[in-house]
Amino acid sequence: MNYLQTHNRNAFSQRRGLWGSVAAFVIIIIFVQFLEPHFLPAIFTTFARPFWRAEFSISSGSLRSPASLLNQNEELKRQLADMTVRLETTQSVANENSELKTLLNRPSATATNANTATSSAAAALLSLVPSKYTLAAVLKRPPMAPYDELIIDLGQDDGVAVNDLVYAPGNILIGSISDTLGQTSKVALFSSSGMTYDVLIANNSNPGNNSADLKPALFKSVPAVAHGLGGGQFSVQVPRDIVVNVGDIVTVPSINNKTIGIVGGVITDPAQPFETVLFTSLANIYELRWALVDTKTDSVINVANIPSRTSAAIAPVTKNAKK
Amino acid sequence: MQKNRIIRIISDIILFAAVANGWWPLAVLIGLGGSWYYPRFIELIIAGVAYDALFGMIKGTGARGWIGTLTAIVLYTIILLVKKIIRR
Repeated sequence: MNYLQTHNRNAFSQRRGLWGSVAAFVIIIIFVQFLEPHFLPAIFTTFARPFWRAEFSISSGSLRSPASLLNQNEELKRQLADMTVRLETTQSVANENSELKTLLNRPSATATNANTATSSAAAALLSLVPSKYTLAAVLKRPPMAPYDELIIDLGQDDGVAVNDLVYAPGNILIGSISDTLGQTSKVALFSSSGMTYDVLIANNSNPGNNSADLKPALFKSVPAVAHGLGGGQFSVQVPRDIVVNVGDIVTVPSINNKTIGIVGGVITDPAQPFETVLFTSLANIYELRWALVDTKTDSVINVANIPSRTSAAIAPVTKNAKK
Repeated sequence: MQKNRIIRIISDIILFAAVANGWWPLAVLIGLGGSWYYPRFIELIIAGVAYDALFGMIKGTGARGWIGTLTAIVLYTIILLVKKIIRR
């Protein structure tokens, strides 16, 4: 007598095998990641990098016609001439700045930079020279890259290390290296959600007749703690009595005053003793195509409240071991 | 059968291109479709791992750096369970 099969043992064991292999796969990945954290990122990045580079080249205009490239070249030459004039003006201001620092017995450019703390003003200027930066192409940026990070085409082979500072063109501080592989690195933007930093909000209000308004701008800077909101946005809470205006510059507290953003809005609630200041990075990270990596100094930003992230000092510290 | 295999290979290529470019909404859609249509679409979990390897897995970020892998596993499990319930 034949009976209908009530239980398909074969299908059951197949399902169990499938779940077993998925579980084994996940356990192997966790194990590999635990032992060698760069193994999986290096493998997948090796495959993805050529596509990222190709995409970057295409977006940079590599496939344009020679005529349009020549036109662009001319336009860039004109812009360069214009920028050279502006740079000379900036350099004269930088010279004046270093002379003033020398007069005030602060010849070094940074507060704790022992190696550059020489007596000449030239040492102060030296750290302002952009040649210490290494230019990097931004291969991936938000919103396509998640976690509010950039992927740049410089890695350990180029001398990039974790915690190196990253600037947008124009010397705008935007983030620091969070992880580095052979030829690519991940840049954690300071605006990443959940990150907090010490900042100074420089009051730009016009001085009035009151003699207190004639104090130097340095004394009008408001110290505060900035919270990253993601996408180049930050928020700060300050007491309501402190006057903060739209357009005020936000800097990282050090003698170099690295600009981090500009105030875009102030939210005041009469029922609250604090007002919320919203500021945004001066560089548009969604359109960022180039970045400058400071491979000679370590990270700056005082990370006050980031779960399991490395805290670093406020002032840049010269790397003795590197280069 | 041959047509099915070709469609799967094409969808795999699109899936991994989407992952490499960070187009996660497209990757999720292809992953969901693939898991629904094919019996064992393990590519979804591999894509999740690849996504985290490329953009996440930063030391110190904890589970936040594994969000692609975790999402892929959860989606894969949900699709399998829904398929099982509907096709019972």
